[in-house]
Amino acid sequence: MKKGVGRARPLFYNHFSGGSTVRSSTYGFLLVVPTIILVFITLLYPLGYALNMSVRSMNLLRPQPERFVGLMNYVSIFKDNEFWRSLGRTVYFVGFTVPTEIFLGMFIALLLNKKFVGRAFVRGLVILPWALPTVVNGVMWKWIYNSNYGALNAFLTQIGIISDYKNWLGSPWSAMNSLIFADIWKETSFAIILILAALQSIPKELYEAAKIDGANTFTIFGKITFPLIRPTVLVLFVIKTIWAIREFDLVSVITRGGPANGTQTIAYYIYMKTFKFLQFGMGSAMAYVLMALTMLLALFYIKLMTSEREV
Amino acid sequence: MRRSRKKRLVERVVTYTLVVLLVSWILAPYGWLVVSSISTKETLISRPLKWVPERITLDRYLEILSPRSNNPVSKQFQRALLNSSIVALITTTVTVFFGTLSAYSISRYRFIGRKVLFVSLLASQMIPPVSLAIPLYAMFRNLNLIDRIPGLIMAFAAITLPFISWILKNYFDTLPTDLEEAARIDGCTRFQALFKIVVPLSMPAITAATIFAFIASWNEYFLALVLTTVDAKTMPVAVAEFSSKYGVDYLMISAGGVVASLPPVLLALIFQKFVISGLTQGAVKG
Repeated sequence: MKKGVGRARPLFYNHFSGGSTVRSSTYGFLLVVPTIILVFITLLYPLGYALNMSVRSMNLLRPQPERFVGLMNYVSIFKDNEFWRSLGRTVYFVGFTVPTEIFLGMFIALLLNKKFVGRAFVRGLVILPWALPTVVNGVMWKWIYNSNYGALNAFLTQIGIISDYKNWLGSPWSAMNSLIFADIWKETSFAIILILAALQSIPKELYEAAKIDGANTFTIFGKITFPLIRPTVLVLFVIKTIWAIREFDLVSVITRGGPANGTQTIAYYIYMKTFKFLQFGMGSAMAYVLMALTMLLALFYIKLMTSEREV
Repeated sequence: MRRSRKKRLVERVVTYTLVVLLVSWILAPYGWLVVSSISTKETLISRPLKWVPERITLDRYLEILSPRSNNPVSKQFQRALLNSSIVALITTTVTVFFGTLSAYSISRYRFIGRKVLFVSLLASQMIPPVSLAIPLYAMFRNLNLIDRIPGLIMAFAAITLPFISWILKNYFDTLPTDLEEAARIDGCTRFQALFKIVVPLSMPAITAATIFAFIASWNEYFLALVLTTVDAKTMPVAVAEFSSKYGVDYLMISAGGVVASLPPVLLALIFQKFVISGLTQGAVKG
């Protein structure tokens, strides 16, 4: 890590800002004390606390004291079929939502980067789904999917795509896809906003030069646009994957994990195990496994990104 | 010449068609929620469904928001609205203030543990909320903080502060240090240099951070669900509970959903420039 790396900083790198003569490490430390305290009390200490809970048999339903069980909780995770099934469903959810949202986001951002009347208005509108509370997104889609009076059934029958009202949340597979659709509606916004910002930072001269050279739309996208928005797209993959793995809100509001556990994601399963069946030790262990998986994935992504930057 | 004009016409038609599709895709679901909240029950359950209500009514909003309403659900809603406002406002103030201090420090000073702090702020974003919610619940139960506003504020501040510090740090990094140095030479204290020079110059980033902190704490559901039981419930928890308990009353649910969504949606639309630059600063540089 060298000093004075310059203004354009690469990702996850350079922790040193440009030189400053006001260098008092004590003063600098004092400024971060409140943050350190808060982060310690509400992040680090709880994580340690959870680690301690995860090696104990803690069932709030039973009166007996917390017993040290070593790695028993972790071992039983491997035998817990529902844990792995929930993980599998989460992988399905992440695998569908993340690429779709980024691809769709890129497509829409390219559209919004063109000139048209009302562009500022539409660009602003894109923020709406992002700002909507996930719970409201949940109740909104639950109402739209309603099997008796839902707008989706009404719309599809009126334009003649289906002949009868369907119970979209009635079977596991269809319910899961309905959740995925609701998630895509809301979460694509974030991808659009970031990719559009990246597109706007591309100098116009590049396009003009390419046009003079006679490049067509596809060549321009492949040779100029995509390489320049690629870092943003990669960051989006990291952030969106980390977020999608924790999917809880939509499941909790729309399906409560059902039908037949068909939409039970890993976060929802751990929540149920801990707060409904009160197995705090087991829940903590599962949460640790989930956290480890998230970190591994993030590390893998970051490695991928940094290695790409060096090329 | 004629061919290229025709090509351009086709391109414009395609562009405008896609834009119209995009606008409807964004507006239709939320618009339907709004329409549902002001329709009468008869129109909403009609088959074939009538998309435009024959009669507009604000009854649900009055029922939810009127202080004289005897409906227990309305009472819960009003309580939740109050709770959410308190929690979101205090969390925002606390995180933006401490976030500014720590971001400035990380950006300008070198001290022991700086790198560790910096990395842990980043890493904290990867912790799944459920991994925090379980120990926080157990801890808060011992401290008698369950179902209490201070507990919620602590938990929300913890998950919001890292991101806020991050946005602000990235912004401070782009500010030249010359002005602070000049101010220091002119006799400003370090504290004055921060609050009289850096903060006013950073208003765009601080505004963005404020909006974020507010939206994040207003919208937070999972932690609020785990850490509250009756009294401290926030809007998202009330709306979710409402939809599972009174699952048939779509009109009330729609109205509740619209009320819950208005503060974040309006803030984001009004301050969209700040939101966009904040997101870009926070995510892409991070």
